[in-house]
Amino acid sequence: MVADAIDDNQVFTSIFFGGGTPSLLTPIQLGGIADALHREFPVAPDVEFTVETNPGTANIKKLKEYKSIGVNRLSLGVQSFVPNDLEFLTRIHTVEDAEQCYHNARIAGFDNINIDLMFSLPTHSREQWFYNLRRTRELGPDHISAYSLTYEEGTPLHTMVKRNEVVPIEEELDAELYELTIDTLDAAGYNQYEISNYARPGKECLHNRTYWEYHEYMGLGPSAHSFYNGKRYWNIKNLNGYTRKIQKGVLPIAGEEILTNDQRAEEEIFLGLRTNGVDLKKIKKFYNLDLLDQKTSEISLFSERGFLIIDNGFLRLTKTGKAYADWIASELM
Amino acid sequence: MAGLFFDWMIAEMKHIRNFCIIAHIDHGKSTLADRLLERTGTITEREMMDQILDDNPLERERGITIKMHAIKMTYRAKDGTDYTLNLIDTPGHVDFTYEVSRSLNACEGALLVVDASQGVEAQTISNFYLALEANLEIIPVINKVDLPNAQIDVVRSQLKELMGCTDDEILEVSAKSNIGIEELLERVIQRVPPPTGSDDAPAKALIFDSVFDTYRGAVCYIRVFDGVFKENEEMMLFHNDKKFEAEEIGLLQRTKKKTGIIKAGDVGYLIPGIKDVRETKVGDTITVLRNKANEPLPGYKEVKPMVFSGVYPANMEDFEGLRDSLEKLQMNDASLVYEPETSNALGFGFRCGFLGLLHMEIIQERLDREYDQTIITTVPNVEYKVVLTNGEEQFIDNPASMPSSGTIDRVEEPFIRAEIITPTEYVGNLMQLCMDRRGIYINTTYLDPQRANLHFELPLSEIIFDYYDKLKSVSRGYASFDYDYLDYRESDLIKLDILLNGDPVDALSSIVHREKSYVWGRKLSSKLKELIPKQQFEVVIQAAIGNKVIARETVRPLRKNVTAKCYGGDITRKRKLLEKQKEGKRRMKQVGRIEVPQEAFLAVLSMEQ
Repeated sequence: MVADAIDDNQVFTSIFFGGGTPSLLTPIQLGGIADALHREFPVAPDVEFTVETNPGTANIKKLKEYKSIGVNRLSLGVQSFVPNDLEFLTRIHTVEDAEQCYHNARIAGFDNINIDLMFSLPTHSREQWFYNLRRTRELGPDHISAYSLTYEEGTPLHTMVKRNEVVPIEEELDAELYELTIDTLDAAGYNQYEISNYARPGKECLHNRTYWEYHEYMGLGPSAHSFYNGKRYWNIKNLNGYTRKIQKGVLPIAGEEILTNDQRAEEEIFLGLRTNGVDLKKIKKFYNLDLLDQKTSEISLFSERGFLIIDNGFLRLTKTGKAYADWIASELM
Repeated sequence: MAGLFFDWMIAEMKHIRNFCIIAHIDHGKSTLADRLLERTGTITEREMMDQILDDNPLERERGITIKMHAIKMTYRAKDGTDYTLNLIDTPGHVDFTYEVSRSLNACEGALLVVDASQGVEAQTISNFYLALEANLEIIPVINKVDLPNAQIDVVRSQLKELMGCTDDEILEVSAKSNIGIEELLERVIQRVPPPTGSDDAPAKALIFDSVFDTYRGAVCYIRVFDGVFKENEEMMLFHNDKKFEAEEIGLLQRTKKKTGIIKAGDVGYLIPGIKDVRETKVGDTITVLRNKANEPLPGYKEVKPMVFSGVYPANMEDFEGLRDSLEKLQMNDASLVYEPETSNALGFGFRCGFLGLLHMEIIQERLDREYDQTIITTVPNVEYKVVLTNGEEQFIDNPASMPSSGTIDRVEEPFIRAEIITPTEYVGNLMQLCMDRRGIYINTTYLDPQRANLHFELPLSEIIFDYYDKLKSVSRGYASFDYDYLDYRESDLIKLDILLNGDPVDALSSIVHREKSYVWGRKLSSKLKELIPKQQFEVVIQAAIGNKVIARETVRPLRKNVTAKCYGGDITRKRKLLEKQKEGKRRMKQVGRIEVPQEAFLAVLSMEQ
């Protein structure tokens, strides 16, 4: 159904299986879906094809078969090299599983592997987190996503904080761990190309850049978000509701948002700040917004503090500025 | 001819009954009024909007009547005679006690309505005494008698105890189910005396309400005691000697019915052609120059504001808009007073005086809803009387303008007399609450073995924060409370200042009792620590009495403010969050370099006491 919305001149540069545990799919299942995608959609020959993989769910045989189907990038949900951390995060895998999985992936021939890490857990000290960074560096993945733990409202973790069962670390320490991450990974040859993402040269995740550079994308499956033709859509969350719509031949859309010019400009600004910078010329051309003119005092204030620089027509956050990305974005929106 | 006209007039007066309904909140006053209007054919069921007398949406929402009006009904009694029944509505809250008393003075009788399941409550008692003071014939009525949890016998004995009436005098009705309405109307005819007075005596009419109409200016609701009032005649208001020609005069039926004339005993309206309701004050007397009275009716007084608060525009540039809005509001509500003031924290704004807390909330809500003003208000306070060492007396309605302690001989604050009705099992909790609020215990009386009436004297300042909520929570909602003003008394009061990074913030100053000041200062600083967001620099909050710092808290500088994950599915939510962050920031007040959210100025209100 959605394939009808695609123009002839459009092409898919990335396929990403994520959310939940897609690595539970057997190679036959995954292959079936991949075949269908290639049949129905214009997929680029050099497509980046990522599968989020839980270290406890994939042995070498499965990884080899994934590779033969065309998967060329793996994203491993390692999170930590400390057993207690994994327990706190209620992960089903062990530290050994993670390392084994990483090595198996290399043996299977994957040359583009991401490792997901989590810092600022309640027990984290500088030393503990550095230990995780060191172990990661030793493995040498091509890409690292390192997220600061967030206590999202509605999650069990959030409830535990409210009940004082979990005490988050001080913001001061969180900021320190973040700086430590940037510095350590930079020294190891990883470029921070987004707030929480680091890559060896040329190994930036094409897929994520699609979001951040404001290109179009299409999400399939319950709760998936799409963005095309100036609209953002999100699918029904509930699996039964989702399949019922599909069976009836109706698009399973739960909601949509038509973005105004101002909203698009706002999104470009905060996404730009999180990544390679806000393209001032583009903002002016597409949204008729002269940021330097409209936010002169804010920009100069942030520049004086060393949070922002203007570089080649781009407004960029400095390393210190990155820790304040939300605040700065809200001031510039 | 003259004789015939005289006879007709006498007959007319004999067949008028002026009365009101008084009750504790939610005991069914408005429903009963609706039923009387329906039964007398004044309004048909179809026309009946819910609770028609309360025509202000804010009043309807709060289930209370703030401003009163009156309505004329015609009822053919069992004796075959047509009677004119003027039902005068009364506001149901302590803030408007004076206005209630004026409405009662316009009547000869009152229905005292008590909910059959709730029994006698604090306002039942205070209203009863007001009616007694006004010399009214009081008819006790038990409402909602058909409720399954009605305790008719209990309520009967409470009423007998309170009023000293007999069982036969008490009526049982259900306004909702239309039970006992006919009997009630008959009782009004039999028991409420007709008005006395004469058309020939010097003219006197009582203004029991005064409202503003955009097109006509002031509209006075009046009760004529003596004389005849005709359109286009020259008249005079007593309190300011203002002379005017009445533009329009009429009776109050479903709508205003212009008759050109009203006479002794009548209840009606008068449009004086005066723009400002501040000139046509509730309680004042109107006379006709042709037949001028020498003195006004007794009981007029200037209502004085009891509670004060700073009202500031959230954005500096909206000052003029706020001024215009207050000016318009005052045309509607003469009891609102305000004057410009300046605050180092909040800029240009106004110090407003209100009759009480409810009145304050109403004004603040009306500014927001009807006038679209985004305002910041400061913590409400009472007016203090300060006697300086040189003997000079000053009234202080803003804690920030308290003279320095060295020049003060003593400080006095207003006290109230409180009446708390409660099931006996909560007496202990309520005693504790009142003692915590510096209450002076007077005595306890009993309405019946299960219901106590506690009498306390309390500083007004102690009940303007969360007293009412606390009272309800320690009594599981069963206690009711009413109060009236006593006098000014000396107390050991001091000014507590709040400093942010060393600079005092005037809008956060408060006046507190010395014994409570340390705890107060600590709680207030820690509450402010919660409310003031992290800034790029450290913010030190100090509570100080004079030069002595009694509490200190620190808001650590902002070190990190960035969302970790932002992928395709997060972008919409993320944008909304940032928009909210931006909006929140817009509503902050810049105090020096520090961004202070509006809630901080009301921090005291959310403090656990």
